[in-house]
Amino acid sequence: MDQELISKKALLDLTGISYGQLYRWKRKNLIPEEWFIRKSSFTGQETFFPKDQILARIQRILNMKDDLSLDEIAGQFSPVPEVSVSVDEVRRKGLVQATVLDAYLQLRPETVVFRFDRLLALYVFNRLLQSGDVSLQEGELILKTLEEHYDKFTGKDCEFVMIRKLGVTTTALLSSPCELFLESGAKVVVKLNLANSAEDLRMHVVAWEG
Amino acid sequence: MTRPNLEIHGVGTASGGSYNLIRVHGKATIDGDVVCARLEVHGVVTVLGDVQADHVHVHGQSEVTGRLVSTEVHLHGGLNVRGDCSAEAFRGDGVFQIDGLLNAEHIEVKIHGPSRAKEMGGQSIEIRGERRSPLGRWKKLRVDTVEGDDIRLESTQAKVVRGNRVFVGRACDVDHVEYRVDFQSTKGSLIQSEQHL
Repeated sequence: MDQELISKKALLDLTGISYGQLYRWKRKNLIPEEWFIRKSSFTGQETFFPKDQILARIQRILNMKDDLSLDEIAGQFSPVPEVSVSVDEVRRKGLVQATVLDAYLQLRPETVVFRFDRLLALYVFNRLLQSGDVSLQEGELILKTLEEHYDKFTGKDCEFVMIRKLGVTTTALLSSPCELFLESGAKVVVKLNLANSAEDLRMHVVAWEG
Repeated sequence: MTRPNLEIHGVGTASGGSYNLIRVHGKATIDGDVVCARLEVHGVVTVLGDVQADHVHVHGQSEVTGRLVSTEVHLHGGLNVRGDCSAEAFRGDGVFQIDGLLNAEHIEVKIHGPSRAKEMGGQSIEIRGERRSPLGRWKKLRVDTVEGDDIRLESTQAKVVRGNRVFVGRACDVDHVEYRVDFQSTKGSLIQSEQHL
């Protein structure tokens, strides 16, 4: 994937932050290690960043840093943020459709609070049910797969796929990127990047708390 | 759960893990990653793995084959880190070799022998050398890039130094300086090029 890069120097000019701040945020893991891309230039090594990602990240850090400590901010950027919200709260915030939430609660009646991974399962469940490609029975498969296996992908990119053949449905989590070839007659009904969904969800959650 | 202390007096080997205090008088090898509140070395320690601590005090010689993360690092002797080293404060005097990035809010070290870091970054960075040492030219810090807000260097050989306020003192050899606010250098320091941003 080709993405536009920005040099460290240009980044500091553009955002007005200092070297000290940048290194501090790196130390606190507010900026992931993978974003520091080293390339040689005429003045020796220079560091580049993926432009859109780093600018968005710095904007968010700058917005939050007056109210939160760096450690608290780091918690929000971690792959699994510290979240627990009650069922009522989810209903009130309208994160998912009320009917979907009710369907979820029928399948998982013991639910009292959602932690981030469960919230993500609910979020994906909602998204797929609303897309119309997935029936409610299949929805339960989604929940099972995510609940059982999502923690194995902590910090890694992964994709959720749902495959159907002759009316029989099965689901899987794949590490991403990967190639998938199926027998003829089988069809990938759903392919969803969970890292993106988690990022979307995180935005929602951060917005509630902010 | 309270974490155990690990004390080695003499020569010993221990496995990595989670400790409260690790204190070594003598020579120790710790095999595996270590998490501890305080690592105190009076002697020689080799850690085969990563170290994560609140305080690291080195009186003697320490080697970490992974990365070292601590709130505070006090150096009185030698420190060798194969990976990155990050701390809020990295202070002391002695010799260090860091194969990765030395990233600390405050770096304040007096160099007593040949030292090396691939990169250094932080808020304030101050490197001092020995005065009038007969072997002064060997007692230098070699570093590729130094980046910080306030930088004061002595006895340092660097390819690039980038900062807001940069002072290049005696016995330095710097290929390129980039500064935003202020740049000064003493006579006797070698600077190939400088650029005001």
